[in-house]
Amino acid sequence: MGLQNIYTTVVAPYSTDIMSPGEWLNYHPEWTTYAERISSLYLFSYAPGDDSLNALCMLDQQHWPGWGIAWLKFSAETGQYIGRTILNGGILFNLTWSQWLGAGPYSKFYRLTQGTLLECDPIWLGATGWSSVISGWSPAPYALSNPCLVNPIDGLAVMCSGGSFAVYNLFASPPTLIGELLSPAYDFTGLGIEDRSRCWVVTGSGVVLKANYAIPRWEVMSAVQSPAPDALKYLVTFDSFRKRVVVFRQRPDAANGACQSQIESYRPIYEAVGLTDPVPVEKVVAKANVRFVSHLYGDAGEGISAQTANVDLLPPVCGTVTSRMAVTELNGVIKMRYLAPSVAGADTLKVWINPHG
Amino acid sequence: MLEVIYTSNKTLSPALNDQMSLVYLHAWDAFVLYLHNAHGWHLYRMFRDGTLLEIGSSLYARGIVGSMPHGLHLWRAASAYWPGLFRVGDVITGMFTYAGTMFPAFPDGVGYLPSGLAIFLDYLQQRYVHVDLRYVNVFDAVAGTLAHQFDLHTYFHGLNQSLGWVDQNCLAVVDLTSGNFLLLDYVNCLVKNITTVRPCVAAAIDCANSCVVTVESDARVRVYALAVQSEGLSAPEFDSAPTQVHTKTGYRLKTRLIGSNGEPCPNKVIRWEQPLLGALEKEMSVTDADGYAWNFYFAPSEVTGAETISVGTI
Repeated sequence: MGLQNIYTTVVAPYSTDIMSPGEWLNYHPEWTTYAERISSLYLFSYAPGDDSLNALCMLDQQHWPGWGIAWLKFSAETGQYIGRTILNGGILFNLTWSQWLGAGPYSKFYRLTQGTLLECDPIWLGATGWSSVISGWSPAPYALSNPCLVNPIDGLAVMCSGGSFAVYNLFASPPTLIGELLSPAYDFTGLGIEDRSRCWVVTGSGVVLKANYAIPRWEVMSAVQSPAPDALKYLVTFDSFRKRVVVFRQRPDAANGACQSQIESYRPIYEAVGLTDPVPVEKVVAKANVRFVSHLYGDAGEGISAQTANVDLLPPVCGTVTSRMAVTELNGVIKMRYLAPSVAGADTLKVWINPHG
Repeated sequence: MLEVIYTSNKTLSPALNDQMSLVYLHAWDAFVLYLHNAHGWHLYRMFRDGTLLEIGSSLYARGIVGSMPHGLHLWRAASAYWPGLFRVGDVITGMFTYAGTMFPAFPDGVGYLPSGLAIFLDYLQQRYVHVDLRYVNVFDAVAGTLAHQFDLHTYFHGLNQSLGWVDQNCLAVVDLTSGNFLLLDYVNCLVKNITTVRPCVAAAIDCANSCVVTVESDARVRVYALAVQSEGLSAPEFDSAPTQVHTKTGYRLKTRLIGSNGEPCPNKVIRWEQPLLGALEKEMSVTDADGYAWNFYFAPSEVTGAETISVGTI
């Protein structure tokens, strides 16, 4: 299983309301094309109510007061920028006191502030009543806005920090750590809930993982397409209408200040990116029916299963392929057999995937 | 010497170094490669043809990766930060999980590896094996006591070894510097065989296909059949040499197939050519565990003279 890219859209949320360089309270007189930039990215979530994708970010602005916190809204269908809600004031306090920040079902948001998990309003992130005190953190909550999710129906909370994916039982009093998974990298930057047991996480290097957090265990590993070292941050959410994984890739702005961050929508089905060369796992000797293996893999090397592979020999032909078709197994392996000729010779195996599966 | 059956056309990138572990993972039918370079520790999935895909990285070592029976893998703490814990590797990510902790009572500090990177754990036989510069140490994984010690200096002087599970109770030790290759029975504490591969920087045992996979300093992957490459076939001779061959009499014949180090080559087919005067019982026979192939020669009934018997491999 892998991720099939549906669209990649470069977001364009920046205002062009440029101030003149000498104007009073011009916080960035060096900017000449765009009047703001994304400086930090906190949350990315899918809203089923208006079928939109929403990113909470902090902007550096040319105009007073020089910064702003904004909800940027995008079309879930295309990733196109729709509009924004600029917030200043109270949300800054709520954000800066959030060690963990994330979403849950019913379009709810949650944050953890000084050991207390709070249900928040979806705009200002202010506490709306429900709360649960969590103690005994592993590791300690130092960083701002680590990703989390809360499933209040089953009393589960997932708190990610560093390379740890920690699952808490919220029905226990106080909530207890009941399971933990580790990232192959040392960072989780984004977390998106799919349903009552599944979620998606993304690492700083663009590796995307699906977890069953109710067990917990990893189920799928893949990666965003063309992971680039210039990516500043990845966030992830799940579009529950289209059943797609949506990634917000924050990238440095262009030299003229244009936004280069992009929204990438992926369908979580097979997407092969490579096929390894056929390799013998037995000695090739005269008249022997020798096993060869090859692998069909996705972005993170994950096996692509249930694809039909064809095997043949390129001319001139000496031996015989005794298994002309094979189906890729769960780990993407293609097993094939080659009958060597009775006299010495050279053959070239050709393997290709049936484009129709 | 074991026989190279495949050399990758691709070269591994990025550059390799001597702080790397290579372990076969059956669920991937590929290899976990964990290495250190100037940018930290990196976890890769490596295929036999040299395709290398990075999965994750961290500034600090997450532990030591080692092999387990049947193509599973484990991680062990590299320091007292995670004292004395063996953790099963996750088959999706290659990284360990906290849930998969085994033998939690194994004493802290026992079998830590200050310089080597080779560990092995058999959870059914309850044996933990690690290699230091000189010894292969076999521990009782429950009690944490040393059950047996193989002195590698008896066989070779190496600097950096790799371990891999081959088959039931059988473990391979590869000395990366010299390429010396030792097969051990870690349960009954026996040395089963000794042979060689080419010097390399990492090695693993593909237990599903009975292959040895190495990465050499030229950054190419090589696959060896886990069978000794035959280098010499002895001339056929009588099992118990008669002073004279009599007519109408049968005699037992043998020939021996050996590798470059004189090690036997078992399970190889030997072809026998029928002689002119007498007759052989079989046209082909298979070498036994000591590398011997056997046949039976029937002398002719009335003819006298010289006879030539030829053998060869297929």
